[in-house]
Amino acid sequence: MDYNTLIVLMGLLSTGSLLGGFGALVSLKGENLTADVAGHGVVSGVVVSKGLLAVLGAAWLAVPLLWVCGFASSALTLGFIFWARSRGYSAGAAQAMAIGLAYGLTLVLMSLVQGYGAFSTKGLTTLLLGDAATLSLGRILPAISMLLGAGLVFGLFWRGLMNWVLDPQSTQLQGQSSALALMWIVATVAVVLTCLPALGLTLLVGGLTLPALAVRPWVRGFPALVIGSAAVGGVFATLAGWLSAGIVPLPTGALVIVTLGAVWLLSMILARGVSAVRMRRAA
Amino acid sequence: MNALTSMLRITDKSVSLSPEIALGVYGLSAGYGAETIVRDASFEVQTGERLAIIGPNGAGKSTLLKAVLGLIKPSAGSVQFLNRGFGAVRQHVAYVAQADEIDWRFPGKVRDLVAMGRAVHLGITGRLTATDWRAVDRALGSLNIAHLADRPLSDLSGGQRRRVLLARALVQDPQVLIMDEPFQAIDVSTREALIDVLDAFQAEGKTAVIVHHNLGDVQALFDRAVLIDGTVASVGSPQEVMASPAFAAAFGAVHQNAA
Repeated sequence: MDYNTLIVLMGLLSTGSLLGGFGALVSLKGENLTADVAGHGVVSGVVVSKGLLAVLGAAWLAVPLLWVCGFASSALTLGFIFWARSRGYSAGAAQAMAIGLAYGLTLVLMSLVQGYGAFSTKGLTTLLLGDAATLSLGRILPAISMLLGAGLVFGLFWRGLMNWVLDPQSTQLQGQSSALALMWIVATVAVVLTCLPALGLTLLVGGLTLPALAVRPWVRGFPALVIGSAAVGGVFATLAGWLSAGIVPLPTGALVIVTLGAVWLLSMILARGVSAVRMRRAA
Repeated sequence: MNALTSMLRITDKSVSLSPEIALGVYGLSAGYGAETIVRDASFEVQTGERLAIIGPNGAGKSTLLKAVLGLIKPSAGSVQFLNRGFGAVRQHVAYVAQADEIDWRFPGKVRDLVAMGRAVHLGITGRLTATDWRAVDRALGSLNIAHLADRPLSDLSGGQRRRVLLARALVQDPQVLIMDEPFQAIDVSTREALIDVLDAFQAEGKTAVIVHHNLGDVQALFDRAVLIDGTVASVGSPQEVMASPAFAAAFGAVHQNAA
């Protein structure tokens, strides 16, 4: 296996695990579109950063501006969801509004800065579709660091996290809700930003939801669901990357999602079969 | 200062656990969005009392509870628990929500849900000690559901869910217990178990405020009642409240005669 393939597979392992584990939390909270919202928020921030770069003309500012603007715009978009929910809107309605507004804002911003100075939309396609095949060590290090950090945080705080996901109202009464909500926004944006290079915005939601859906019928505990989803996400994303590298000539990101989709389908069929057999034995 | 102590989860150690007034609600107005559902509600609950909050459907009983606990922001008024703001005494106030406010398909065991009640006493990691687990087992035992401890939440019946939620509140060891319709749609044995636990709770001089829908047993179960009909329409003993013109206006004369 050559160095580049190894880097891509390491990137997919860390990205798939991170998305799978975080996705388990997202699906338990009933906020499957949260990452999509954060991703849409990131895109408008990226456009702003590119616009600023065109005005300032300082190439060395490109990466810091990208992170700062992407993080800020994504956090603001997620903050909008919390605000809308506090005004009585359902999670689905709040997420739909946030996605619509972020998308609309992105198009408006692009129209405003298009053709201005050295503004270029180069890189936006990668942001939308991902480009796992071109992952480098520098681009996968954030995902590996995030995965290790998330594992440590989960090991220390899983019970508090479980309480918040299970019954946020109770956590609010215990006075911990605001801090957790803030941490949730920061974690969502960080996960989205670190996973975008591999899968891109359009495939991110699949990477988040499919592992947890595949694991759910087979586990009964919260830690088992989160760890199992991380394992399934990581292992099958890596497998898809390996297939894409030499056996199946298809885009890596798309193959990752198709593989995870197949795992979910197989898991669902098996779970129904097992359930039917158990019911027959019980009768 | 209040906001800081609330954020850091500092409970005021100087708070007296046996003041005369366990809960004071003063001019409270609250609702959702622009719609005000409860207006200018005022009443007090004595320490050691069991108080029923009654009222017709949509009168604002649950909204009142949520506003009292700060789960929705009141548009006006104030609330005091044990002579302090809620943030200073949150350790001593437990809330039992309606059973459908929990996602019972969550991948967890009964023991995990009941253990949540200890969280307010724990450090930032939420790690439970052997003492906490013993408290969890005691609470499960007091409601005759010790055998359910390791059962998945998704396997519970409606009555078992009520018992589990009450066990979670009891494991907190509260001075004031706020409950939203705990007796709704339960079997006789669950009802008796809940009443036994509430009797024991009150025997320790503790206070319970309960939204109750069955007008037929308010007199038997409660010391006093508050009638909510968009505001506090009547306060007093169950007999006084049910004989009041406000009760007849809220429920109609048929209910009044039956009660």
